[in-house]
Amino acid sequence: MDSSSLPPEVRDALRARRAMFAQSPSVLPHLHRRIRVAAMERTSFRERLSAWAAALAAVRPAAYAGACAVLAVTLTLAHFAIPAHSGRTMVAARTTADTSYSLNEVGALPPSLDQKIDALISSVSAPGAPHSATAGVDAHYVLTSTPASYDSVVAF
Amino acid sequence: MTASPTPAEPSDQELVRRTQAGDPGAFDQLVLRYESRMRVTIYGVLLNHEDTEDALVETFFKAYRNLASFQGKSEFSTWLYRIAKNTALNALRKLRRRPQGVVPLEGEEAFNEGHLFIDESLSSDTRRQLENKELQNKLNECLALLSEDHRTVVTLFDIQELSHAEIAKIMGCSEGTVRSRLFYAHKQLQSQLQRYLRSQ
Repeated sequence: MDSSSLPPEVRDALRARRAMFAQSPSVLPHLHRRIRVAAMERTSFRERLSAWAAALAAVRPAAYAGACAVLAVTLTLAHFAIPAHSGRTMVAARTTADTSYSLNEVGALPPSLDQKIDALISSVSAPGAPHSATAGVDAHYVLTSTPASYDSVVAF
Repeated sequence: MTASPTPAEPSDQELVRRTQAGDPGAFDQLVLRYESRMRVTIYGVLLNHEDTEDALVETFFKAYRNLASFQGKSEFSTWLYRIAKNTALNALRKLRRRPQGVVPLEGEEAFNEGHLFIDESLSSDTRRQLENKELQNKLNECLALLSEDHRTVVTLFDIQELSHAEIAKIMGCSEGTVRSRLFYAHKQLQSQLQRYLRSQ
């Protein structure tokens, strides 16, 4: 069985489609856009959050502190809205070294932005309420318990 | 099945190698070389211009993203046809879930009333062009009644003029299966179009 089994006019009509589609505009511009969007999507949540926070802290320190406080409240509320045992395994898996981590132990060096965000998120995702160590000056929080990483926060 | 580049044009292999080495311009050349054939193949499954364009972009995007793992065990064109076929079938599954259904042929008829199905080499006068458009619309109706596998085989054989062996590699089946699908599809098309062709 080959194409000769089709009537000639049908065969010609089918082959005409090849010529027809040759006139269509190229998809290259759309493809380039698709590749750019995919590259942007690959930028991790952490990078985006850090970049946004760094930009905000540089331009408006007060707004940055406020945003951190809002984030802390939001995550605290979210924490209490989630069933009690959620994420418990991850918290239990923390090492002793992790547990002893505190922003205060960084010493004279100011904590990096990542550390600040880590600490902020940890303070609400781990058991125990956070409390301000520096009375709202830089919105630093002392960890009362185990810190959490971004990955565990996302998984949580 | 490999595109036959002129002596001045680099081969598929060369363009693949250059893309893998980090030259995005080489991939653009591959896209320009194959987009028309991939468009016809995808349209053969979806029978809708709008969805075809989306699936075509997705096909080349997948090819670009996975080109690093392409080892050249098969021809680049076979690999690309396979991606196009799978992308079209995935798109079809998604389209089946949308409220308005799979193939809005009414929209395609309106589209065909434009300029795209007018083949100047086949149609020398207006009447012939109108007949050609009607036949294309009728063909779409008949193709829509076939399964996607049968439509794909018809597209690859009757439009792209690929061999049974090449189609078997793309479809991931035996040559015998390709022949039997083609036999069935041709029989169905003949039977569906018989009345229309007699009235012409």
